[in-house]
Amino acid sequence: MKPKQIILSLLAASLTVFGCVYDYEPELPDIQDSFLVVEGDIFAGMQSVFRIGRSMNIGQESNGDYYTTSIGTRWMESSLWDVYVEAEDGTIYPSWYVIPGNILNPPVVPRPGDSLDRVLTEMALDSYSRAIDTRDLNPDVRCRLRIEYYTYEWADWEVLADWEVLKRDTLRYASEWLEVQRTSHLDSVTTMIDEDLKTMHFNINTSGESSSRYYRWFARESWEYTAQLYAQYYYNPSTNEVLAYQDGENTYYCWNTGTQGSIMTASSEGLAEDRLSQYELYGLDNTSQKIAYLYCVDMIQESLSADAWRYWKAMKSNTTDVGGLFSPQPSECYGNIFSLDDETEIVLGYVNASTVSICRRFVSGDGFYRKTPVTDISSIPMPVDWRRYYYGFDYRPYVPTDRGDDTSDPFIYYEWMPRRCVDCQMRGGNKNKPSYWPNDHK
Amino acid sequence: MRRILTVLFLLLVTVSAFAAPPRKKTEVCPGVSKVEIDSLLTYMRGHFGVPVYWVHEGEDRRLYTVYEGEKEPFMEEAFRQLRENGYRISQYKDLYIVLYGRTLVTSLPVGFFENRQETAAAEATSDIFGENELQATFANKIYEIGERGARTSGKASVRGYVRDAATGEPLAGISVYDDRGTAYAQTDASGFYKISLPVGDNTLCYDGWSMEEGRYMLKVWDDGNFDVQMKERVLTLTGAVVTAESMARHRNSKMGIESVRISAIKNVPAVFGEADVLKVLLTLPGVKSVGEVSNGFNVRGGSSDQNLILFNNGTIYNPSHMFGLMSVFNPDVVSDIELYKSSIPVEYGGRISSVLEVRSREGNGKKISGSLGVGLLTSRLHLEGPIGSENTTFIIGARTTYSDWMLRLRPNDLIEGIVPPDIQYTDGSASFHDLNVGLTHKFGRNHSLHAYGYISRDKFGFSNDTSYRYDNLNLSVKWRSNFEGGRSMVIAAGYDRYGYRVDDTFNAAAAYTYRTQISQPFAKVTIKSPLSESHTLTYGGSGVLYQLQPGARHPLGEESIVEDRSLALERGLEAAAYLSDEWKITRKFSVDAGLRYVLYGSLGDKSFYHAPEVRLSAKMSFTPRFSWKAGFNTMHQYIHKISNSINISPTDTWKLADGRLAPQDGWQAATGLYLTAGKNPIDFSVEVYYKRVNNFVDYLPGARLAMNENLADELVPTECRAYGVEWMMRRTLGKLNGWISYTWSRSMQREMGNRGKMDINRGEWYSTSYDKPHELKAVLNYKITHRYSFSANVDYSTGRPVTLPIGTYEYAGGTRLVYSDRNAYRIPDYFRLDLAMVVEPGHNLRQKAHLSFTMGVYNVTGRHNAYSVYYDINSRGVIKGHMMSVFAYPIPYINLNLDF
Repeated sequence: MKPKQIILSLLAASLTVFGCVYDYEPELPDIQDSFLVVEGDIFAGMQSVFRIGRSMNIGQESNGDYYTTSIGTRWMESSLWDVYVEAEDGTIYPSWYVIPGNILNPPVVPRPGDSLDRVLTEMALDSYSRAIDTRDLNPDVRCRLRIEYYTYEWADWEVLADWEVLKRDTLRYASEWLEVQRTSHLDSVTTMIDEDLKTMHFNINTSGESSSRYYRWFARESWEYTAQLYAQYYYNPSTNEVLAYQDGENTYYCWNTGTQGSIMTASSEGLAEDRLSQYELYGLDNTSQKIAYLYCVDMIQESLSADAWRYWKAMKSNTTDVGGLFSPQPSECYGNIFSLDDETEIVLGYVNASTVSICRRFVSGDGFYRKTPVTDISSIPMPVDWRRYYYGFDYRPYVPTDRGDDTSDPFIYYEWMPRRCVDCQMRGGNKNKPSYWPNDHK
Repeated sequence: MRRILTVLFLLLVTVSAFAAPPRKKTEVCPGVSKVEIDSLLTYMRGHFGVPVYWVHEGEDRRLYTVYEGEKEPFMEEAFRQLRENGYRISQYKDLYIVLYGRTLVTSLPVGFFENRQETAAAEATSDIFGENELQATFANKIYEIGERGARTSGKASVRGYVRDAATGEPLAGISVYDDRGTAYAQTDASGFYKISLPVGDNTLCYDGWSMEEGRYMLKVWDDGNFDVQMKERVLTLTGAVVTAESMARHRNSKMGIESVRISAIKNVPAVFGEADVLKVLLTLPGVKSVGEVSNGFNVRGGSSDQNLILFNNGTIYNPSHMFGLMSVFNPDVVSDIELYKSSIPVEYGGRISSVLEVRSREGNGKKISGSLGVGLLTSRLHLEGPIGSENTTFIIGARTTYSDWMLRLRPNDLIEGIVPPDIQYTDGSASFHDLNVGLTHKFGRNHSLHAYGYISRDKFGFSNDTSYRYDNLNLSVKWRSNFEGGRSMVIAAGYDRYGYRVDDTFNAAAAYTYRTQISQPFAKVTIKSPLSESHTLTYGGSGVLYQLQPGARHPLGEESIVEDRSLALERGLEAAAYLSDEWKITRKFSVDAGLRYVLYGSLGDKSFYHAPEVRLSAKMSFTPRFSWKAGFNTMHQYIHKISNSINISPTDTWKLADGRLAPQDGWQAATGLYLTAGKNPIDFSVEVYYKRVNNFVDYLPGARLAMNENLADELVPTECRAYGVEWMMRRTLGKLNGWISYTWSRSMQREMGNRGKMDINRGEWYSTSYDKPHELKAVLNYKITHRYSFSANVDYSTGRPVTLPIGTYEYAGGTRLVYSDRNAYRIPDYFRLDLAMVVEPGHNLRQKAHLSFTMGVYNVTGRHNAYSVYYDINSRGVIKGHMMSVFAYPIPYINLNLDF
C-alpha cells in the first residue's frame, strides 16, 4: 500500500474548507509507567546492534541519571546491561560494546571481505549500544535474544542515614524463539527525480525468493558536503599566524552519517512473483544537505515474520495515520520481548531475525541540489592586531585580498569570513571520511 | 357565539373564494328559460337578494328549467331540481349553501370547539373539495357504516385508508382512536387501519404527524370501510414534529420507537443546509455518532454496523455520501423514517442494535408535480404523478453534486501539520450521484403493487493515480393485500448490492484494481391477522442469501505483476420464521409477545447456527395519559463489519459468520414511563435500558484486513454492555414546539478471549469509541407567522473516548508514542447550536410554483469542537498535541426549493 493511500483519512479531513487543526494539550496524570525499550534486530550474516532504554513520559523532565531528552528514550549506558543471542542448539553469541576510544571485550576481528559489515557496525555503535557478532548465526536454527539489565535496589532510607546502594539486581528478559527469516536479494537501489525536480525518490528492486513476503529496510546514510566557500588558509592561534593549507587539507569537505527515520516496510503479498520493482522507500528534498555533493546509502534488507509485519504495520499506522476522519484507533505495540521475572511487565520493541541483503548506492547531487545562495556574508580585511580578537568572534581567514596599498603587514592581505561560511564542520559533519568513499577529497 | 360567527365567516370567505365564476352572464329571461347552475344561483342572489353560495360539480353543464315567479316557489323549484341532480342545500339562518353531494351540517355538535382550534372549520371546509365521494371529507357529517339496522349490539370493525388530501399519498403511523378512549389503531405503511368499535354512535379521531386532527361522527351498524383524507396542519410549524405522538405512545405496547416525517427532517438545521435523514436521527435521544462527519450512528451503545438500515425493504450497507457529509437518502422521495431502538418487531432481524426503516413516498395520484432544489453541495430534481389513472403513480428523484470545488478551494495552510507536505491534492475530487424510482399500482381498494429502485455511485480520489468508488444498488417489489376481516399481507422481495473498488496505479509494477462486493437477494412475507377483539397475530417468514466477495485484486496495466486473485465467495443463508401476538388482556394492560426463530447456514464451510429470538413488550396504562412499558429482546447478527476505523468508512468490508467466526448475539431489557400533561399537551418520558452483546469483533494490532482468507485469525471477539436512562420532553403542537432530551448512558467493551497480557486493556472493561455519558439535545421551533418560522438545534455531549499517548520512546529511527489504555481519555466536550429560518411558500393555491427557502447558520457559536485529537512529533523533535475540528466556524447556508 502506498503512502498516499495510508493517509486517505487525513485527506478526507481536508475535504472541507471549514476544518481546522488547533493545538491541544490534554491533562494527563503525572504518574505513568515507564517501559523498557529494546531496539535492534538479529541479522544473520552480519553484526547485530542493540540498545536498551526506558520510555519517557510526556512532559517528563530529565532527571540526570541517564542520558535524557525531554522526549524519546532514556538510553542506558551499555555497561549497565548485557545482551546475547541464544540459539536453540545452545550456541551463545555474546555482545561487545564500546566506550569512546576503547573497544572492549570481545573485539570483533574484521575478516577479509566483510569490511562493509564492519563499517556499518562502527557507524551505529555508540556508548549506549552493544553489538553481537552474528555473522556465523545458523539461519536453520531458531534463536532468541536474551537481555540482562542491572538495577540497583535502594535501602530503606529511614533506616540508613543516606541514599545508598544496597545490592545489584539483575532483571532478565528474553524474546520469543524466532525463526530466522531468509530474505530475497536486494538487486539495486535506483533513484527517480520527480517532475517538479523537488524530490529525489529512492526505489528498490529485489529478486529471488524470501521465506516470507514481508520486508523491512534500513537506510544507513553517509554523505559528503562542502562549506560554502573554500578557504585556502587557516589561522594558528598559538602562534597568531595565518598559514596556507598543505597536502589538500581543508575545512571545505565534510562527511556526515545518519539513518532514515521513517519505517520502511513493504510486502510482495498479492503479487504474482515475490519481486518488488521500483518500490519507493523514501525521498530526499533538493535542499537537503545529504544530497549536496555526494550521497551514499547502504540499504539493508531483511525479511519479517508475519507477526513482525503486523507489529511494524501497527507502528507505522500509529505514526503516520493519526487524527483523520477514518483513522484507525492507535493500537498497542507491545512486541515480542518478555520479562522472565514478571509476566505482566510490558516491554517495548520487537526483535526480528533474518538474513540480510545489502546494497550500496552513491548518488551525486549535481544538477539536483539547490544550493542556498551565499548571502549576507561580508568579508573583513583584517588588521594584524585584530586577528586574535576576530578569531574569538568565530571569523576565519578566507582568501588574500587585492589591497595592494598597505604592504607593511603581509597578513593584511587575507580576508576573514564568518566561520560558518568556510568551515563545513559548523554544519553538523566532521572530517572523518569513510574508508569506502570513492573520491580523494581530504 | 363569537366563535361560531368567526367560523362561519371563514367558511363563507373560503367558499366564495373558491366558487367558480358564473359561466353565462345572461339574465334569466322572463318566462321559461334553461340555464346553467351558475346563472341560476346568480339570478337567485341578484333578483331575490337571497344570500346563496355554491360550489358546482366540476363540469356541470346541466340545464335547469326555471319559471319566472315569486321568490318562494322559484326557490323551492330550483332547489328541487338541484337536489335531483345531486346537490345538497344547507341553510344556516337565512344563508343557503349549495354543495354537490354533501350536506353541510349547520349546527355544530356540543363541545365541538373544546379541543379544536378556530381554523379547524376553515380546514374542514376546504375538505369539502375532496373529489371522492366515498371518502370522509367533512368532519361534521354523520357517516353510517354498514347496512342500516344490521346489528343492534356487539362490535363491528371499521377499516380504511388514511391519505394525504393534497397528494393522495398514504399516511403511515396515524393514530386512530375513539374519543371514549376504548379503541385504538395505528395506520400501517400503506395508510391502512382497522379498528373495532361498538355498534352505535362513535366519534373517531385521526391524529398524527403534523396533520390536522380529524374527528368524524360514525353511526356504526356493521363492519365497513371508512377512508379519510387529512390535510397538513397550517398553523403549527410543519417541521420537526416527531411522532409516534402522544397517543401512539400511550396505546402501543412497543417501546423505543422514534418516527420522523420528512417535513420535520427538512426543517432541522443541517450543515450546508442539505436536509438529511440520518442527521435528524442524531437529534433523538439514545442515538449518537462518533463525530460530525459520520453517517454511521450508534443506537443505545451499539456499534454502527449493528443497525439494520432498510430503504423500502432493501438493506443499505453504506448510508453515506461524500465521507459522511450527507446520507444516501434523497429527502425529496423519502416519506418518513422509523427507528426501533428497543422493541424490535418480530418481522425484523439480523442486526443487534436497531432497525431503521426509511420509506419512500408514493407519487402524487392527482397531478404531475415535482421540485427542484439547489444547495451548496448538490442539486436535486424530483418528479411525481399519476401514469394514466390515479391508480398508477410514479416518483423519481435524482441528485448530483458539484462539490469538487471544496477540495480545490481548501487553503493549504489550514491543514498544515496533519498532512505531510509532499502530498498533492490538486488532483483531488469527490462526487456522487443517485437516483430513486418508485412505482405504485393499486388493484382496486385492497391490493397494491410497489416497485422501488435505488442506485448511487460515489467517486473520490486525491491524486491522479488512485481512485475510489462505491456503489449502492437496491431493487425491490412489494405486494400488499388487505382481506376481509382485517387481515393484511405484505410480500416483499428484492436484491441489494454494495460494492467498493479502488484503482491504484502509483507503482506500475504493483498497479492493481481491488474490489469487494456484497449482494443479497431477499424475500419476506408478513401477515397480520386479528383473531379476536383482544388478539392480533403477526406471522410470516423471511430469507436472505448473503453473497460476499471479500476481496478480488487484479493487475492494472501491462507492467503490473500483481497476482490476479479473488478470495473465495462467501455465502450464507439466513432464514427466519416468526409469530407474535398483540394481546390486549384488559383495557389497561396489554402484552406483545413474539418469537422469531432464525436459522443461519454458512454455505462455504457448512456450519449452521440456529436460535430463537424473543421479542416481548408489555404496557400498563394507569390513565389514558399515563402509562408504563417494559420490553425484552434477543437478537443475532450473522454479518460483521470489518473496519479498523471508528466510523463507517468507504473502505469497510464485511465478513459472514462461519465455523471460525461466531455470530454476534445480544439482548436488551428496557422499561419506561410516559406521561402526557397539560391542556396543550407536553409529553414526558423516561426510559431505562440495559443491553449485552457477545462476539462483537475487534482487531489485532496491525491486522491485515484486505485480501486475507484467514481473516478470522486477525479478529478478537469482544463482549459489550450498555446501559442508560433517556429523559425526554416534547411538545408537538403550538407556536413553540419541539423536544428536549437528556441521556445518561455508558457503553463498554471487553475482550472475550484470553491472550494474557496482550488482551486489550488486560481484559478489563473499557469505553467504546461512542461512549458519551451525558447528552443534551434540543430541537425547538417557533412559528412566527404562517410563512416564517425559526428553528434552533442544540447538541451537547461528553467528548468521546480516545486513546492518547502517555509516553515516548525513540525507536526505529524516530520518536514513537506509548499509548494509554484503549479509550482511557476523552476529547473535549461537544457543543453546537444551529439556527435556521424557514420561509414557506405563499399560501396562494393558484400559484403554479412555490418557492421556499431555508437559511441558517450551522455552529453559530463557532466552537472548535474536536473531531479527534492526536499527537505528532515535529521536525525539531517536539511532541505536540493537535485537535482537529471539522466544522470550526459558523457555516451559513441557504437552500432554495421550487415546488411545482
